[in-house]
Amino acid sequence: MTLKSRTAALLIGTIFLLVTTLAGMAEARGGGRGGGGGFSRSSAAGGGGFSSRSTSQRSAQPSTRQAGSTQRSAQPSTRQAGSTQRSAQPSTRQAGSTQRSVQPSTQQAGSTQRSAQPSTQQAGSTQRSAQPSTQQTGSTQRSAQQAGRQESASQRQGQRQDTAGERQGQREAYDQESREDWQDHQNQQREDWQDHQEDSREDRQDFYEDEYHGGDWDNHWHDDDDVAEAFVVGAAVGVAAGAVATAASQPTYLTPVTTLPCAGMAVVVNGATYYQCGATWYSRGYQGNSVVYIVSGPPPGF
Amino acid sequence: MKKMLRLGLIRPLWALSVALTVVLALGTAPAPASGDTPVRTLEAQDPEAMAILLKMAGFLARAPAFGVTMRSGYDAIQADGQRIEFGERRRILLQRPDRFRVEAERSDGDRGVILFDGRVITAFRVEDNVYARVEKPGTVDDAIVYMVRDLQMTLPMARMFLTGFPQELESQITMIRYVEKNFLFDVPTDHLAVRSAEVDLQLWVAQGDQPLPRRVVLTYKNAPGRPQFRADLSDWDLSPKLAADSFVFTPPVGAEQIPLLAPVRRKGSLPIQKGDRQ
Repeated sequence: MTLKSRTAALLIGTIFLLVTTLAGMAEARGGGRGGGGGFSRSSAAGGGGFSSRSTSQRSAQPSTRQAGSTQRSAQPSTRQAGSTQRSAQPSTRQAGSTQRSVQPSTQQAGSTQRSAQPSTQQAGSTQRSAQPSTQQTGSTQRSAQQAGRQESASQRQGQRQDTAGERQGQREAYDQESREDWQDHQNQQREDWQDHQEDSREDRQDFYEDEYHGGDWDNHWHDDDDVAEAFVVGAAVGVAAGAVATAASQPTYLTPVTTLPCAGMAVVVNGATYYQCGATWYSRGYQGNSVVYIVSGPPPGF
Repeated sequence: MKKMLRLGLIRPLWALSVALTVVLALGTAPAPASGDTPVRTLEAQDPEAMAILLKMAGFLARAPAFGVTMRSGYDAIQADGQRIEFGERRRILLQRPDRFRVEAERSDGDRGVILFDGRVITAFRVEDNVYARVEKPGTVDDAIVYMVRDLQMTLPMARMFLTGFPQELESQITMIRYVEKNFLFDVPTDHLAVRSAEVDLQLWVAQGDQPLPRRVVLTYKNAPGRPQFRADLSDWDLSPKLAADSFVFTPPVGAEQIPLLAPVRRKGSLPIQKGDRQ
């Protein structure tokens, strides 16, 4: 009897301790970063640099960390989607694709359609087989969608029951089309890649222009809202290794958050800690002077 | 040899630059002052103060090793304009050419250690029990610049730890003056007032054969609310006892290695006006 109640008390105590510890951790995370009592630690003077970039480019008031982190955690998986989503991000991409494409309007329309409405694609390819003259426009759309091509292939199979001469002609057309498809596809890929490279370079240039201005390398005060992305330096370790396997050649940009959007159930797999918030898994990274969270994908076995 | 030569040249060069500035100022008399950028004038320069400053900087730059404790505080201007001070304490151990160790503790108890052993930079967070590392073979100078500029780790007065400290100062300073001889430290100090385009700097430099900085106040005059950074530098040790593992990181039990991230900053919520460049 006494043993039972003691066990129960112990259990309750343990649960209480666990809960308070977790709560304490959460407080230390959020509260510590944001400053106790909601005060922001963020400051132009925090870095103690001998220089300070002119603040005219920055927004007038340093927003509190809490506001910043809320905003940031609202879009935790932005990076995951890679180039497709990036194209949705406003000015950078748009400018890039305008510069790049020979026929800006076509390109723009094509890429929008491509990512937004895959069904339009099929319509496009059907049209194409009926009216070869529209191929120019069609092929731009076509190139992104392998599925579209497959459909047109099956259509062509039906047409092949026609006379031999026609068939011959059709096959030539088909060959040409496939070749064009492939070329288009290649071109598109190259352009995407170039685009990506260009963006990265421009971003980096921005970064250098900001940070190297007048030997100003020792003061990095920015609004928290400015923190957009980060990339892993050196050898990738632990849970991020899979996500940033290409880090050596081309940095993979991640969007870290300073606080988890939820209490975060922690799971340790192979010595690496993962946190689950809904369907999203996070792992930890070291950025600046603190620990941040990056979307990592589920740990092995989950 | 090179250093001595350079130091020997500093004063004549300084005089030359002052003379040149005067000539230029006279030549382009009503030069349109861009913003509030201070203009170098002869009256504003104090050769004696400059000599003290460069003597201090040169002394630190040439030191083969040192240890120092930096007890600092800075203003964080809140959204409503209130000025809040946050504090930090750091113990810095540096051995040229290629080793350093910084132990930092924040006013809220948050603790971290950064180590460099000539090959690898390791950063460790005590409370989280996590660490991250990156290979960066080179000198203390290389590692510090990389750490502060690229990894955006905080090391207040980072330039003070570089062998190019005198040059770093000279390139920034637009004005320098001697304030007073200060008697409130354990040794008499020279109080200097230095200005750059963006930062006002006050320094208290110990008199005598060890001209070490004892206190620093930085004012970010262009930042909203004009926040300050203040630091007392104590426990200077020019021949610190260096244990074999002073610069080697041994992960504590259960410590997890996590990836090291380099932030890429963009101009926040403002849309990037790339189109304008075409």
